[in-house]
Order: sequence, then C-alpha cells, then structure tokens
Amino acid sequence: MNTEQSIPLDLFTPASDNSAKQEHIARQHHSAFYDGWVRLRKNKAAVVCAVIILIIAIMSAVVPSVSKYTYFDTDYSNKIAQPSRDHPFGTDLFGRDQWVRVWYGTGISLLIGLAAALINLIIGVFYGAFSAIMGGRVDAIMQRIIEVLVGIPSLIIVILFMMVLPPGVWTIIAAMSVTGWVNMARLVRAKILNLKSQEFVLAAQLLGTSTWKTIIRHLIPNTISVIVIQVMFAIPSAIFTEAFLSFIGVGLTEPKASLGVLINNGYKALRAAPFLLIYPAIAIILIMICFSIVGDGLRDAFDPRMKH
Amino acid sequence: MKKALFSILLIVVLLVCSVPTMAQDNVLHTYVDRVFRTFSQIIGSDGHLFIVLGSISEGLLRLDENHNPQPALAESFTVSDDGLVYTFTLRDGIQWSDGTPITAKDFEFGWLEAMCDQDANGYADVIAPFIKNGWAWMNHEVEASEVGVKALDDKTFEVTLENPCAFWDRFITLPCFFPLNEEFYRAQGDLYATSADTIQCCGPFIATSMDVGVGVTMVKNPTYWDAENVKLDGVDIKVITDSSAALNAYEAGELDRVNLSSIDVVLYSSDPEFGSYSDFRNYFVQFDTANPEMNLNIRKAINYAIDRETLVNEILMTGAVAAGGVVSRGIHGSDEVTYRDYAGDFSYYDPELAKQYWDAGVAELGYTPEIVMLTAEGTDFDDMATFLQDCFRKVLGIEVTINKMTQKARNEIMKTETYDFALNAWGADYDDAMTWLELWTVGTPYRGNYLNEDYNAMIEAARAETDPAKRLDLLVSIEKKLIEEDCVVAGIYDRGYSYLQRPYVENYIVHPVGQSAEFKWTSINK
Amino acid sequence: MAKYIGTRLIYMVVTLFVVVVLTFTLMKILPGSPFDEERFLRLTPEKQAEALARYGLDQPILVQFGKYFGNMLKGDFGTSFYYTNIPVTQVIFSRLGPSMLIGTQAILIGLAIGLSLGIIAACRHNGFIDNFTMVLAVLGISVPNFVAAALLQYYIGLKLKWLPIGFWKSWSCSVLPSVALCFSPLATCARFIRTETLDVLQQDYIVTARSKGMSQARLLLKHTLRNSIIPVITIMASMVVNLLTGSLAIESIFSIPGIGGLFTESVKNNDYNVIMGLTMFYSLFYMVTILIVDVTYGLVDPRIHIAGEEAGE
Repeated sequence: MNTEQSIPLDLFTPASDNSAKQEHIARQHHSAFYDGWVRLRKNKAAVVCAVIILIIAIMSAVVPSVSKYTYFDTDYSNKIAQPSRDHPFGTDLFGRDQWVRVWYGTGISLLIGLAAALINLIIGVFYGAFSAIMGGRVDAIMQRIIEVLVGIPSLIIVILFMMVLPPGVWTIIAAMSVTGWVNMARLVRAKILNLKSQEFVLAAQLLGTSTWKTIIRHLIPNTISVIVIQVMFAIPSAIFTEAFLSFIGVGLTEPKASLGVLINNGYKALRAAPFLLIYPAIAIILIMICFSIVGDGLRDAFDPRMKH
Repeated sequence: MKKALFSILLIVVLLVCSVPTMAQDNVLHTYVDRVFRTFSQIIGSDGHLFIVLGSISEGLLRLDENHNPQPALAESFTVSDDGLVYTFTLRDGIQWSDGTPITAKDFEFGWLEAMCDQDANGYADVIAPFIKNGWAWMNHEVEASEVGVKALDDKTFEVTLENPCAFWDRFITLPCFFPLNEEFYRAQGDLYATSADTIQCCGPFIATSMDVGVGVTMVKNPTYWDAENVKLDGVDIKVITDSSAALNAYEAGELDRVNLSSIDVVLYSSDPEFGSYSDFRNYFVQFDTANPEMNLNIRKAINYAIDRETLVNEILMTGAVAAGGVVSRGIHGSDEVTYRDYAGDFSYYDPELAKQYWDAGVAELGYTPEIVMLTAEGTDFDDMATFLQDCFRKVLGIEVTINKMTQKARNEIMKTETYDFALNAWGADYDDAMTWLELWTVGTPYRGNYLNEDYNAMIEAARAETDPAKRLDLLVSIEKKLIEEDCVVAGIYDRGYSYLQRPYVENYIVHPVGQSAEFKWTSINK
Repeated sequence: MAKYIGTRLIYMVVTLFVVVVLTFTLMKILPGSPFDEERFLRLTPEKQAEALARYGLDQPILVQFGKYFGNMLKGDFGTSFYYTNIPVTQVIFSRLGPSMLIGTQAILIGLAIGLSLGIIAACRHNGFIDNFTMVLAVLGISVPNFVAAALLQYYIGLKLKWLPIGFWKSWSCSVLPSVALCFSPLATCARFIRTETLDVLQQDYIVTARSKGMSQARLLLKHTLRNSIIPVITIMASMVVNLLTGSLAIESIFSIPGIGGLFTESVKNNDYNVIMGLTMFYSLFYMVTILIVDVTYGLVDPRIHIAGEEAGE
C-alpha cells in the first residue's frame, strides 16, 4: 500500500498534444482479405488439403489425356480385372481402365460440384441477404417464393430440363441450380436477422455508417462462416444429386462418367468386384474431407471474430 | 445428452424385445423385381402379375412343365373340323374361394370384359382380333350376343374364332382368359382386386394379403379341384427392386430362389445352385424409316455391325441368347423344328458387310451422319447401349451419342420428332412369330413409322392361311422382308435369366411366355 | 403471437395455391401421357379419344385444373393411373407410414448423437473427440447413403445376422434403414453445432458468465445451446422434410414400401393425380415445418421477437 506514495509525482508529465502520433497505427495496414490470407497460410492442415485438391484437379485433367488407355476404350478379354500394374484400379465390366475412368469422373464431379456450389453461393447469398436486409413485405414475399420453389417437386423440373436441353454435364448443372440455392438463402437470411439485432450493428448505425457500408463491412463478413460451411455442404450435395440422377436413370450418359456414376456401377458390382466401388468412393471421400478442412480454414481465417 | 441416452436406451430395449421372424416350412419364398400395378386380370398385362394370378386363379387349361396345355377348370374340349369352334366342358364341383360355383357364364363374362378393357393397359387389343367379332366388340360396334364367346349351359363354354389358330390352346392359359364372376366383379366396382378381400380365387392358392408395393402372400386352396397335387402350404411373393438386396435376402435365407445380375454371374456360375434360361422377350434396334438420313444402307450397316455373341457372352452373361431377328429363338415353328431354326438368321454380325453398307450409305447421303441412339433408363438397356456404342466405334468407326431418358420422355421424342434409332424390346404374348411380326402393321412411331401395303397384305395372308407349313413359310418371308429387305428393325438378343435356387426346391417351373413362373407343382423337400 | 401465426397461415394457403397451380402446369408439360403409349397408339382414334375423355384429359388445361381443384376441395384427390383405379389417398397413405417411421427415427438418432458430439467437440476444441467428430461429420456427408445402406445390410444384416436385412414386417426391420439414413443429419448437426458453439463460447456474455463462476454444464445448457442451435434449426427444417418424405435408394435397398419410391415412380409414369397428391402433402408439410421453425426461433433465441418487423409481418 505504501509503495504508491514512494513514487515522486514529478515523474508524471503531460503527454504532448500530437494528434498525428495518437492516430498512428504501428502495424502495417492490410485489407481484411490480406489478413485472412496470412492466417490461412498459417493453418497447415488447410494448406495441405488445398494442395491436395489442386493436385486432384490437375491429375483429373492430366491423367485421362496422357494415359495409354482412354475412358471409353473397351477390352472384353480383360473385363473385371483385379487391380494390377497395368490397371492400377482394375477394369470394369467392359474392360475399361478404371484408373483413367476414376480420374475422368473426378474431373466431371469437381466441375459439377464447384459450378453448382458457385451458383448456390451467388444466388443464395444475394437472395438471402437482400431478403433479410429489406425486411417487411419484401422479405415476406421473397420467403413465399422460396416456399413455392421448394414445394414444386424438383424431379419434374429436372426431367423437363433433360427433355429440352441436350444431354450433358451443363444440363445437369442447370437443372440442379434451379432450386439448389434455397438452403443457402435461408441460412444467410437467418444469420443476418440474428446479426441485425446485435449491438455492434446498432453501434455502427448510431455512428452514422451508411446502410451499404454496414452490409459490406459488418453483416457480410460476419455471415462468412455460415456461407463457407454451406458451400462445403453444397459441393458434396451437388455431387450426390448428380449420383441420384444417375441412380434413377436420367444422369450422365455413357461412356462419360462422374464419381456418382462410378459409385453407382460399383455398388452393383460390390460382391464380384469391390474395387470398382472402393476407388471412386475413396476419391469422393478424399475430395470431401479436403474441401471441409479447407472450408474450416477459410472460416477461421476470414471470420472477423477469430482475430487473436 | 439426456435425449441421446434415452434414444439409445429405447433402441436397446426394443432390439431385445423384437423377435426375428422365422421362415415357415413348406412355404415357398420368392420375389418379383418390380411393384405390381394392379391385381386385376382385366387391366393387367405384366409378366410378374401373371405369376400371382396363375397361382390364385386358373383358366380352362394350364401349361405343364413342358409348356404344353393340360386340362384345368375345363375337363376336356373339342375343336370343330375347320378349327374355328372350340367347345369346353367344365369340371364338376369347381368353385370360387367364397363357395360360389364356377360356371361357363363366368368365362363368358370374363372374356367379354377382357376384350373391352378401356385404357389399353390390358390385353384387349391383343386377344380381340382372334375371337369372332371381338374387334368390333372392343370398338362397341356389336352386341355381346354376337361375339364368339358363349356359355351354352353351366358346364359348356363355346368359343368361335375369326381364323383358325394353331396355338389357341396354349394362348388361353393367359390370365385375361380366366373366369370372372359378374356379380362379384360389379359389387366391388373400382375397388376390384385392390386387396385380398376384393378378389375371388379359384386356383391352387388363395391370396391372404395383397399390396402393390409389398407383395402377395397366399395359402393352399383346400377346395381347389386338384388340391391333392398341390404340395406347398403357401407362397410368399415379395417385391424387391434392388438386385443386390435380393441376393442378400437369398443368402440370409429369406428367399428360396433369386435372379442374378450380370456381374454376379461371374461369382456364382460354378455354384451347384446356379442355373440359367432364356425367355421370349426380344431386344431390338428400331430405326426411324421416316428419317431420310437413315437410308436403307445405313440401317443395314447397323444391323450387321452388332456383335451379338460378345454382348450376350461377355456383357450380359445371364443366359441371354443372340437373336437372329425379332422373333425369339425358342418360338414354336412346326412340330419338328423351331421357327428360328427353320428361318435362319436375318440379324447377324458381319463387320465387313457392315462397313460396305455403311460406305454405300454415306456415299448416298454425301456426308457422314451424326447418329443418336435413343434409349430409356433401366439396367437392361444401359449395358446394351454402352456396348452398342463401342461396337459401332470399332466396326464402323463412328461415334454414336447415347440419349438416355425416362421411358415416357423417350416415347414422346419418338412420337414427335424424327429419330435415328431407338433401343426397344417386346415380350411375346403367345408362342408364335406373329406376336412380333404384326407389330409393324400399324405404322406408329414406335415401330419406325413403317407402313407398307405389301407387308400388311402378307400379314393378312398369314392370318388367313390354314395350312401350318404354308403359314410358317409366309411368316419367314414376312420377317425376311422386315429385316433383310426393308431393314426396319435389327434384332439384338433374347432376354436371359441366371438364378440361384435352393436344392430342396423342386418343380419350380418357368415358362418363356405368359405366366413366367408356376408354383402349382412346386414342392419343398427339406 | 396469435396474429402472427394467423397471418402466416393465410400466406401459407396462398403459397400452397401457387405451388398447386405451378406443379399442375409443369406436370402437364411433362412428356407423354399416363397411358402405355406403345399400346395406346395401336387403338383406333375413336378408342383413344374415348380413353382420354374418360379421364378428362381431352379438355383444355384450365378446365382440367378447375375440375381437379373443385374435387380436391371436396376431399377427392382422384385415382392413380399407374396403380390402376386405386384412390390416390389410399396409395399415399399406405406408403406414408414406413417413410415417416424411418425418417423420424433417423432424425432422432442424428439429432441426439449429432448434438452431443457437436457440443463435446466444441468444449474439447482440438482434442480427440473434436477430431473424431470432424472425421465423422465429413464421412457422414461424404459417403453416399446407399453405399452405407448396402454395407449395413451386408455386414450387420447378412454376416452378423443382428437385424433383418430388409422388408417391412416388424419394427426391427426399420432399424438398419434408419441408421443408414441418420448419417447425414448426424454429420450436419454435429458440424453446425460445433462451429456455432465455438462462436458462442467466445462471446462476451459467456466469458462474463464463466468469470462469475457458472458451472460448465449450466453454462452450456443455459447460454450456449440456446444460441448455437439456431442455424441447426434452419438447416434441420428442410432436412426433416426430406427425410420424412422418403429416400428412394434406402427404400429400394431395404425393400420398404415408402413414399420416396412412389414419388419417383409417379413422376416417371406421369401418374398425374399421385404427383399432385404428393406435392400437396410435401409442400404443406414443408410450410408447416417452416412455420414451426420460425416460431421456435422466438422461443429459443431471446434476441428474436417474432412479432417484430424482422420476422416478416
């Protein structure tokens, strides 16, 4: 207690009135995205997984074109062959090299998953955010539109798309995108409704921040975690929807293959040739694991509340 | 956490309480691979429905293990010298499961009703042309009394045909020719045959439960006229749509017989319980003859480019046989020889011939056409489409695009657009080449828009021909025109089945046409 | 509250009407007719016209819709084309039970395990359970449910003989399908709960509560769970509807007469009345679920007051 008194008062002098110095930020100024990027790079698991995704993407583009087999070459004398040096993943019922087919299918599935997720992202985020921010009547009507879209059986829409457009990957992506974004929109709306009533938004508004600035600086960055997770769910969901379309017989047509098609075929051959299921299944699981770890990394890196 | 614990506890308790159901002795456990659409003999035309109807009901005659007709509800029958009038005498004491006696009136009503089925789901258009004034009756142009089906008295049923029919006695074993009690049928109204309570039984078994999505259970019919020869106490027919699931059910002891998918044949083909057979369902390529791009040479090239042996032996593997045309191989020809052995093959694999025709066809067009293969979803078409695409690539050096759609969408495209060619199939309604050949007389888009006066005249001639040998020659010339000369279709294969069956199951009879499985004489000897 | 729910109910009727109109129109654009076209075209034109007239299919679409809608208001949903002559209500209700039971069980298992794992994982951030949960969550959404179903049937049903391999005979038949179906809700739930709980645990009021010496269990139940469960409820709403309305693959593998198979079948076969009946059931179910969810928001999250402007009055 008595230590206080032993400090001589003359040690305390008024601070110089240098306003420039007061406002000085010692740390170099970076944009939020640069900060996020730095944090992401520090997350080893996320970086490794991102690299794996990149490798898978490159392999799926390169392998089918440099291999001595193609994804459609048949060899009936060598069908359902066990994995070997020549055919690392074995061959299917038509004697086609499964190694090339798995990589080819991975490419198609990645394309479908990413394209569908991107469309989900763009439509869903804008729709959900707009609906939540506008509120009132606009919000009510927009929610009803979603309910109508969800109410119409998507299978009808898909079959109509398949009839009108030529068969192929883009038709499938288009058909899946019609209602695929709904979940994203609902999530973003719920999150923004939640944020709107929080103190920091109120504070920002009280300080005179414009509505748009509030949205861009405060609302969107805080919904990133929800968005990123939903995108990470949207990718597998798109890949599986495509597999379901193959399952009911309106998906990709031979000799083209996606992981969904390969897994479907492999499932039928589960007893006689389990390797036909195992390799595409491993491919799909690996892709999913990597996406979700990268997703977590992105969330941690770009979420403003995660600053340490 | 409480919730989780509670759920887990609940599951454990219920698990312990539930007792696994044991398979009964002397009941045959089998399955069908599609849901039932109806259980009515009037509006049903599916092969798997006929298994049920043939077990719980019966016609005048019944096919035995060699596919020959034997007396059933009819004790005997006589045929007039011109082959047009059949007179059946019914057995004494035959009755419906509710005790009502079965009379010739029930046959008369059943046949008349089957011929005026409203929605073309049933067999009206198939059977009506055979019976005198049947077609006119179907189109409401005559009174019932003018149609060639008559109950002369309670025991005597007389049928008059339009033309003599060599296979009539085998044909009338189909369920659309079963008896139907008018009073009962009218009383049920629209609910007829929607459950076990709204259907009358008169066959070896009585239905105890019927559900279109679950299956049918039946028990032995004690009042059946031949009950002493029915060995089983009951039959349980489940609906299992997934082939791997069916195989699992067989291995778990829930089924006594199971059909194998192509890829599983590889595993089980040397198993002592393994067997295979083919039936009368022909898969074929249907060309659109209205499409100028598909000229005769191109169509012929495709007919000869299909390596049918490799398809059935390496890809399908289920016992399917390479077709020689649209008429299945086992179809009856004469007493000595099958139709196909007599006719020879019109559709066969000849890569050099195929290439020649292709080059000629391309030269005629002046360019190489881009060909789209139209196909419907379904495993029987999938593998075939993949194989054909590869075959055309290897033999003709062309890249054919597969356009796979739902059955309805495929049909709509065939109907409204010109197409190149489509994969299609047709199962025989009766054991005669005519069941296929007459399909191409009406010029529908599903038959390649083929309408040819000469062809129809030949069909009419064959229908009127009474001499079996001359008729057979006519039929062969008709198929030759259809495939070799005009090349409207190209036969690919006849469907095959590979199966596993318990060693204790005996006399599980399969027929290649109509009622595909017969349980009347089946026994279980454990 | 009552006024809010009343308004929502009116909205619901309007939405349902729009769904019915749109689905009816789209359905009629679907290629083909309910008849077996290959046989149908063999009939004479008079017979064809007669068959179309019997089902009113020769009328203009507006008249058809008017008739359908009129009958529907009287509670008559018509009969199925594919399942010839069977009333639509009978077709649907006979298939509804199995799908509902399996779906409910799958959700209960998924929620129970998913919630527990998610919370534990968040509390033991970066610990063993956390990593285990994340692996499980990733596997749960990465493995197609029909592959899981096939493996369960083969190993648990056939090899170990613990449970029936399929069919619809006793309650035990529903266990394997429910388990096969629960992975996706389990994974989704665990993942969302973990992330949200991690978020909430960093908020000031939690730090405050903790510094005031509140016990961990009380903290989780009283403060964390109520706040972290909101996104889960949102995502669960559509998941509940999806699960309760059946899964074609699961039903087909376990040979269960469910509504998922019925729906696919009806769309493929142009079974108009069944499509409409199922669509109505499905969207009504969805909207009621959404309404319940929105009301639940207010109950669960103290910050949202549903009577306020942000919930859409």
